[in-house]
Amino acid sequence: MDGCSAGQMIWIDLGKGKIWKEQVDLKMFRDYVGGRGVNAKILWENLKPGLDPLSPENVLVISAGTLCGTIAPGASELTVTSKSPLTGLYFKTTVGGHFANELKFAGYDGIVITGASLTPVYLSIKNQAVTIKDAVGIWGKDLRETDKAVKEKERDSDTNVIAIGPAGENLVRFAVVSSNIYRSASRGGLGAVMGYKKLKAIAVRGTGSISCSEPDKFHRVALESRRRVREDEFSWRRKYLFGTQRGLLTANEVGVNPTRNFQTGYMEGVEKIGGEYIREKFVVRETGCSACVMHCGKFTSVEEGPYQGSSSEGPQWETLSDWGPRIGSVDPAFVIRANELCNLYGMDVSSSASVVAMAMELYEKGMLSEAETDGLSLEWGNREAVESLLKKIAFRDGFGDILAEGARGAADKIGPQASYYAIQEKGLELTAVDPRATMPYALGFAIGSRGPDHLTSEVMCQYGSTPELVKIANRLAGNQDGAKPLVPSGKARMVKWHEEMACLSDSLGICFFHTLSSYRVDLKAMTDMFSLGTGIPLTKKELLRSAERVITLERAINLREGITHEMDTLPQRVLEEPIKDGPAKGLALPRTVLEQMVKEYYRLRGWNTRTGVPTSKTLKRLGLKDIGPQLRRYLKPPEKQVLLVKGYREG
Amino acid sequence: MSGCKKRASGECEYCGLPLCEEHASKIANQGEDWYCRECFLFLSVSGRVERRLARKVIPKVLVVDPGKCTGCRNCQLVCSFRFQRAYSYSDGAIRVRKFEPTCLNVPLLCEHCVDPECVRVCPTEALRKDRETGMVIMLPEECTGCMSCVEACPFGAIFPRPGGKLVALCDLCQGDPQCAASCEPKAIEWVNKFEAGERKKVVLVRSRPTIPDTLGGHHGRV
Repeated sequence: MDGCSAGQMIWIDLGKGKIWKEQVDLKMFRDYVGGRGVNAKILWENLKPGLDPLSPENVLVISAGTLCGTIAPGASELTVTSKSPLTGLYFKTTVGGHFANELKFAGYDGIVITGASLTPVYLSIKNQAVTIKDAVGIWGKDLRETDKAVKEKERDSDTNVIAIGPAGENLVRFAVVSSNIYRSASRGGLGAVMGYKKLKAIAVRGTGSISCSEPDKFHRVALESRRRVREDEFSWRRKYLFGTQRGLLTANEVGVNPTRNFQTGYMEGVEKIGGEYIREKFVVRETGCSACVMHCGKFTSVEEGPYQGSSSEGPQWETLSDWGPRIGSVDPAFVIRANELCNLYGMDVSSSASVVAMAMELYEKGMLSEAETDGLSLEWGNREAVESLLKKIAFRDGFGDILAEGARGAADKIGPQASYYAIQEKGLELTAVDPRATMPYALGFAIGSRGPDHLTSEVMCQYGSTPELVKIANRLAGNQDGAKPLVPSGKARMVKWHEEMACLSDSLGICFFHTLSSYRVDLKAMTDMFSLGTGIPLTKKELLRSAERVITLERAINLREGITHEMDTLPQRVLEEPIKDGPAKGLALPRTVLEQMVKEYYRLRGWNTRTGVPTSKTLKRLGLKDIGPQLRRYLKPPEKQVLLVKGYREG
Repeated sequence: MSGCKKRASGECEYCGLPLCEEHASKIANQGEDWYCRECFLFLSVSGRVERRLARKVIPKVLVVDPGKCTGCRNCQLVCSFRFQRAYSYSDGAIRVRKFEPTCLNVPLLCEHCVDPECVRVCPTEALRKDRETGMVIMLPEECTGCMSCVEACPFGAIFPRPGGKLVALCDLCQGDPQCAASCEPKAIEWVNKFEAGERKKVVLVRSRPTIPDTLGGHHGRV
């Protein structure tokens, strides 16, 4: 195909052992950009609504971003989409590494997997040859060994592998799909979907090439935008030296670092688990995904002490905060150990730390006793207990079996009083920023298409760390309060724009750090690269509208699965308790403020302000008219439907 | 190797340092070529002045520091673009060998050896040592794809092109290597020949785990 999309997708029915290839036409890329957008479209068309996520019919779509395979800055993102076992809703999750590129070089934009195999298998893709191979010998191995075993079976050490670990096999509801061992499409438990399908791994090797529609022009534009990212010396150096680790220290200084299961926002002694200290003591070398400019990855290893010999890529801000303050410990070596365990078992760090923290608080409050926790004394910061609990979760052993259901599921099993301590919404556990002290995060968490998570709409300019960012923030907010995170006005506009940019990043396959963290790859650069790469001439406005289309489609999938506007909120604890102590003491997020922001956001999106359902006018504007009838059929309670029809007329 | 503090009016042909007229050692009959004192001495003593004058020298070399390589493979992409005008991991003349469990990445590329094994084993003389530049070059029309050179190369730096008969060989992008230009962590650098040796020593010193990272910058154990 002419252009940087490969133009072909692999379809697999694992139940029947059938493999076929389907062309993807240019219209798909024009309307849905690629990656995340195309995945959403495929899911809308092929996923039966109301299905159990862990059933053979669930559809798992894995595709590379449109610009993957080129030198566009940070173009390496693979998007994995499915119905999540953790939330029961639409879920997309992205991962870097080299798999996306290799897949494009093999000649495919993506893989759609349906059905479930009876015996463990893995998928082998070598250019044109796509085969389902036996994986009985690999089943049960941890991710490091799986990678090695698959490479041996493929007889090619250059093979790129995505795989699941023991957690995925045991259907832990927050199991990850891991790429190149240490990088993972982490949240939402899509590893469990793979595990249910008995698909242990996908190995890909491609020796083809990706040629852009206008190679020389594209090359020039891409080099220029790489230069622009590199030019921002401050943020580049920070990412290169510390990854995102410094963010933890800043968050702690401001008092928004979730500590002891969101009880407070400040922890003493955090300097030891972020930035310089880790770099000096543990970092061995930097790592980067394909075509990266930032090189934020760090390979760390512990050389002395009780955790000697632990090594893994990471940890970054999330991990440090999760295995540090969230469980009440500040031991960097332990963070590396826990991170390694999560990586080897194939579990999401945020979710597993969340459930462990929840269990610890329940233990503290006396709602769990040692008899229920298999004799583990889950005091804050008890590292030995956490280590054995991680293993129990991954293998669904004893108490671990309860926690493996995720915070919501575990709280349901433990008892009604436990649900207050499950810091989740829509089933997904919150990530490591306290939304009480920042309005953009709060709104983004509330309305995110996959639940409360920063990776669908992170607003980095809200802190205004440089004059340039203040300017961007004010422009986006439409007032002078853009860089004041505590002022709710204008934040809906900021979140909307960031959500669209995030969607474009995912769809094009460009890593966030190049687009939303430094604001260096802007909409113009994206449009240019998309047009020159694929040969589809689009204007900036049209590309942004494509992003809007994708977000509305994702909303439609969620509505079809039974989401309501009441679910666009935040956990009870966050809304009812002010932050207890630390620098952000007393900050609270009143429910009314959040609701107001959510309403404003609905209005900007062209969704019904009361129900959060896209109005027919919006659907028409976005060219999604044909999804309207189906959407209305699936909106669940009939009385809501009446409201909806009214809303349509109003809209 | 002495750089001149005064306003430079030219640069040393051998080491590339800026020179003013005063410090330059011109060579008779060859008004265009300038050398700094050290280079001139070095070249005269080793009896290479005459030979140097007869050809155009590339005074820079590619230096690779695997400790800094992050495995982003951007060099592979730009290199393949130069050969094919398309991006690929397998068309270029450079590879990054990845050892995933420890995240160790080693860029492999042609060293343009003084006495290249690949040239020696090539049965059709498709590979040659270019007298002008000292580079190892490949003549595509002569290459039969026997892959002897791939086996012979002690650095593992010659790669068979996928499907085709040819091998890919680094041509230093005719003096402006794109891999070095696009390497942000500076794992591949296009540097002055004399500096290269010093850099290697620095890498060696840094790789000793007992020495703290006081040299400023990278904390790398290769």
